[in-house]
Amino acid sequence: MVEAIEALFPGLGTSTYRVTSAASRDYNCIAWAAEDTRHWWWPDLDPDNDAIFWPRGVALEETLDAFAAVFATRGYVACSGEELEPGFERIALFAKAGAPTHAARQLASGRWTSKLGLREDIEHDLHAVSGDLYGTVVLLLKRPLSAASL
Amino acid sequence: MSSVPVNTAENVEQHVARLLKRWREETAYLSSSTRILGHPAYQELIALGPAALPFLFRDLQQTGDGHLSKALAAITGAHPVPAAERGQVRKIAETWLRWARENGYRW
Repeated sequence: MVEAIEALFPGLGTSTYRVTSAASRDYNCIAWAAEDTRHWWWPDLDPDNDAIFWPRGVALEETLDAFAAVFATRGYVACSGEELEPGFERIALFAKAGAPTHAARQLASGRWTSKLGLREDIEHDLHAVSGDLYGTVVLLLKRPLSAASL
Repeated sequence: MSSVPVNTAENVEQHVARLLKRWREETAYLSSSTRILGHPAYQELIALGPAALPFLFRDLQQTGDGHLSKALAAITGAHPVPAAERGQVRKIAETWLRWARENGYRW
């Protein structure tokens, strides 16, 4: 499994990371960034697709604006800088060719946590999951820790 | 449901198993439902039609993988998942299995 992860994310092979959960089909990276392990978050207009949750009122679009709006419902606003900032927590949105692919959430340690698709959660350096699959970090969001109960 | 000859059923079973394996291997690290459910193997599962249902229900029972919901809806035309369960992958699997039993499917 470790070999599979590092083959897909070469940056993990040259940095320190650890697997922090078992694999789960129940939630994805967007849900994990939003601290929800009960739903699979993704926009889809197809009524046949029941296996997705998307907050009411947010555009059902695979756009950065829509994904930023999702996290705005949780109190996040756009910011610059990925360093740990006392009193705030951050989310990083990844995109490839302009389409959102992944989200990671910053931990109190300053490192980042990601749910890798249908697989495990990992703790990692932010850019270690950049690459062919997820593209790169294109947007950083933050909220005060006091908003974490939203 | 009409009965399916044994040999054909075995072939369909193997076909479904192969498609499910490929689909899961090649989408394992994706979060995008669009890409996961748009995968060619998933689309091929849908194209197999009703003959695939017993094997999809068996897989659903073994894996709890509610991401099969779209394929099941496309094949059966049914929409048994209530709005309150949207996005809850395991619950969706349970709802589909209940619907399948109530509608006479065996696997």
